Amino acid sequence: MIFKIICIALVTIISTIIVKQYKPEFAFFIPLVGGFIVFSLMLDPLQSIISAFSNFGVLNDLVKGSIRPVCKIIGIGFLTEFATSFAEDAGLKSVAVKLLWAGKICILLISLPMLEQLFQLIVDLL
Amino acid sequence: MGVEIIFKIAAVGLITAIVSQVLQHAGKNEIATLTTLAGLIVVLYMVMDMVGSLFESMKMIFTMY
Repeated sequence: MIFKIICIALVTIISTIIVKQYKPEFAFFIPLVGGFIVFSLMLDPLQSIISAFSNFGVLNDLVKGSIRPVCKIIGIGFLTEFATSFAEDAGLKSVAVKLLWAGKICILLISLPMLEQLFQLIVDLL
Repeated sequence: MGVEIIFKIAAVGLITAIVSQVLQHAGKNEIATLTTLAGLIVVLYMVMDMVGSLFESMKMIFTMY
């Protein structure tokens, strides 16, 4: 499985180098598509991993409530990283930094209820 | 879903490069820039529906909706 992904990455790199010589604007799209193909190949294992995790969550109810936000945070993290790496590929570091900043704020927004739950727990313990 | 999409985009890029070179030598610089723009838009369409399906699968997998 991993060999297929390595071959696709190699093909993407080689075609980007070739096209970058003649038309730099097109060289931006090829890593985008390559990254997408690699991601869609890893879709099924990711799906099974996440369903496995949610099965663990059923066992103890404390974790059950937090599986959904954790999945969301992972998704946001991955998407932000996906976009920032393309911004850096295109050479625009400032856009990448802004995307990272926005991603952090979204993650913080989602983890807010969990923080409250945590503080509530601590207060109860004291 | 495979490598042929990468080859398609590379092919469009190279063809646009050749066409704009030929047009530039023929003295028609404005049309050359227009062909480059057209090639860019064609590739943009190809990439857009892929990015759309990427976001759909992300939403489905991470139950982010």
